[in-house]
Amino acid sequence: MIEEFRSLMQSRWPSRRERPSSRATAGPAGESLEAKKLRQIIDEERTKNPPKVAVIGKAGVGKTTTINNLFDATFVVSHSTTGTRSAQVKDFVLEGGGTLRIVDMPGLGEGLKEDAAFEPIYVKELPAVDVALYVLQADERFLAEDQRILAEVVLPAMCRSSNRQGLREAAGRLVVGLNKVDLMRPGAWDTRINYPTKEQESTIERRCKAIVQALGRTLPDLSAEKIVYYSADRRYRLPDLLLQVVSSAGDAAWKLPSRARDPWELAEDPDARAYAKEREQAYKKKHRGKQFKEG
Amino acid sequence: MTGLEARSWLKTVLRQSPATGSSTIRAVFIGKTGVGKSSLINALFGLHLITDDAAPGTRAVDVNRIEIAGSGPGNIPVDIVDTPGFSESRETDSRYRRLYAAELPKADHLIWTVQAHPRVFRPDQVALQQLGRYVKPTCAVTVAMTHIDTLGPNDWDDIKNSPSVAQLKAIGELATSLEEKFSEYLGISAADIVPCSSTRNFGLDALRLKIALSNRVNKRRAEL
Repeated sequence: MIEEFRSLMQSRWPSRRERPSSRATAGPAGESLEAKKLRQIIDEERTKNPPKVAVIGKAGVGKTTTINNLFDATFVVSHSTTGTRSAQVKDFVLEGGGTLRIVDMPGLGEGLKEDAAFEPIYVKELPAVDVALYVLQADERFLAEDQRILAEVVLPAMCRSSNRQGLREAAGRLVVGLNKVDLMRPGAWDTRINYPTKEQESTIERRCKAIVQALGRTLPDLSAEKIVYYSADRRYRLPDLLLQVVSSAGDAAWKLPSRARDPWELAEDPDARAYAKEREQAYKKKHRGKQFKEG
Repeated sequence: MTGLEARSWLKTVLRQSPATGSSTIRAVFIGKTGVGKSSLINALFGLHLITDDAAPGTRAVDVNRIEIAGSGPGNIPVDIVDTPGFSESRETDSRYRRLYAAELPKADHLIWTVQAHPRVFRPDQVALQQLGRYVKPTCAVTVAMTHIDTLGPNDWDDIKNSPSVAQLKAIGELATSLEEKFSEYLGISAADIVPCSSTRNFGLDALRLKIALSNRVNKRRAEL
């Protein structure tokens, strides 16, 4: 049974061509009865009770762009001042079947008038989410506003019990992501390999430490290593972000998908792209081999 | 307008309107931490204030005297005042509030510096609520909107060194919303909002001109 469960979990992994979502419940040939039953239970649970992730943060930090690239889906991103004005629930069909529910929240801190309208949305939506992804912007550092949003809006809404333990548990279901690291100065993004330059890397490291210092009082368990720095625009470190979201989802973790969009597609160097393609094919080959063995 | 053209234009304008009242202009730069106040001052006037990309660089008020217009007897001395930014943390905010309260009444020109993105202006509104009363009525006010080169789709036109079409649209919309957010506390119009970028050397001529013409603006504001 354990062996079968393991193979089942493995079969959730990539290769879109082999496993389109419409065939999700079909399973590999020669699958045992128990495995089939287990798969059905998982699919049913995913459809009936989809895991819920809220993406939150200040206005204009790139919440919608993050969602679009994190889950390989396309929604409209406004580059204007309007942005997201209400909680937008988006259901994503997972590769292995079932759905994932993402709540794209309006950004906070835009102005006193806007906050009066948007903060009640946070209070209403947050209690029901499994994980919240708090997005920060790398080339910006007015964190007093984040202190306020976390302490006065986000954490109180996420708390399931109003004591110190409840606050800690709520903070545990919060992932801190640092977006737009490609805009870090000094140094410029290396578009050839779609990767940060050395100067940027050292500034990113210092930023993470400064963030921990600033938010430490509100999020005592936060450390520099726990901050997932990434760039949604460049698709840089999205798998790391997804992994952190999954591992913070607690009881809902097993329902979450495990694949983000490919950063190598954006590399300008054809060699880097070719290398990535090769790696992908090797991965698929290895994966296919495993499935054959099961059969 | 090129730098050279701006310089000659500036000279003519300054000859027509000699500085009124006090002979020095005190230009105070204020804004949230990390928006690029010191970088902007360095880019505008060729100064070498210490800046930092990860931690706050300015910890106290820093005054530098410069002269604007470059030639002739009409030179105007300008005191460029750099201040530590607010919204770094609650602790520093309460510490710096006293400092702003002492500095703002002396200002002839207030350059309120904001970062074009993220669109977070609540801290500015809160600061204005508390500090607005310290700004004297004859003080000129300019809102400098920095970081416009990475705004929106981040597709700055390198050849023309100007914002892309999409960025221009975003700048326009942002200026409208800034005007609305600030006018409640400071009497500003859309013309007082200057989009600029220190790293791209964009919009700096417009800002320099505004500062040079501070006293003229002051007169206009006082009449209103």
